[in-house]
Amino acid sequence: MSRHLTDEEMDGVLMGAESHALHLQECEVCRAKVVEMRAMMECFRDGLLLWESSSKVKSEILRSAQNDNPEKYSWMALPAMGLAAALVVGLMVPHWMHERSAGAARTANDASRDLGHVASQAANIAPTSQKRDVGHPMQSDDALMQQVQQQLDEDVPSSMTPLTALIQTEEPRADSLKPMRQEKVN
Amino acid sequence: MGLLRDASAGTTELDDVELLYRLYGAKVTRFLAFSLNDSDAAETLTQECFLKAYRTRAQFRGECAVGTWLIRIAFNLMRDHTGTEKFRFWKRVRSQALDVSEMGERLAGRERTAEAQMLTRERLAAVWDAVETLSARQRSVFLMRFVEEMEMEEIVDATGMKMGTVKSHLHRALAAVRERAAGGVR
Repeated sequence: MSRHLTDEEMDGVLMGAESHALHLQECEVCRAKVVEMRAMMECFRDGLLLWESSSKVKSEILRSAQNDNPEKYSWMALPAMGLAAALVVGLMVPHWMHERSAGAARTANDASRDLGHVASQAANIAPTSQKRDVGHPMQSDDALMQQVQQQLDEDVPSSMTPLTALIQTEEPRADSLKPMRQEKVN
Repeated sequence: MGLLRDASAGTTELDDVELLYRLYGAKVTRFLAFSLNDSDAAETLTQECFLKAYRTRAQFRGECAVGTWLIRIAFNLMRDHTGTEKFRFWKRVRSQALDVSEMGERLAGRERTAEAQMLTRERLAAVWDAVETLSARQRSVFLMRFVEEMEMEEIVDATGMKMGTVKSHLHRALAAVRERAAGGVR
């Protein structure tokens, strides 16, 4: 035996080479080194295998959680969809009513201009007629719109504020024209 | 080669992703967890690995063992994953880094004498410290050889590296282990 194995040769043994088997049989020093390195690798491997068992538990928990999720969503789906629908209706209906009332207000404005001072007289009695004719679609729309506008005040752009004021003052005039006209005819 | 065949159903383990996971899940998770030193990322990539294997099972020609084929998929996924920005961020956080001291305690608990327990802790810590100094590829090759006990040709097949490159990575890893062992371990 002329010399001990180099580190590279010993690595070769650990990688599975059998070329130095004879030397290792004869040389106790080299054999001890290889045994110690193998013991270290075994220790490392055992440590990793131990970790594996705890990892399995974690995987099971994760998998159970994933399996539970669809059930949660299934019973939550209906209320969630209802809430979403309510939100859409809550936002879209006032907007639609606002558009509709604004159009009506423009029409009323034109009519009032045509009728001149008759319209201005009608404005004085508007609150009374408004109270009486609660069942009229336009007036109930106005009442709803006022409520919604109070709630969504911040959503009304500042440039639209004069228009809402116009709706509140002008619309009753249009409705109040009917009794006035009837009075005139009579 | 290494393919379990259910004669009655005319299928193999590749046709049943659950069976596939039961047979090789621990192996793949362990390999990824210790290559990445990140248990959460390992679990995510393990799932991806098995889904990919299941989807591409028609491409498996049986030229290697199923386990080797899965490790190859895992290795490629890991290579792609470690290149992403998201991974680098989480690597910095290292919140899911594996706890070697806990592992050492569990492993040492199996020994009967206090001396053997101390030796076990020291060996594990030495290899662990050495592995932490390695690059991701060096670590993967090291794990394939000394934890998964894959043959050198299997490692070449799984990684797509040349034999010389694989040997070079292993020499580097073993030198690091030897250095830690000679330094009296921590």
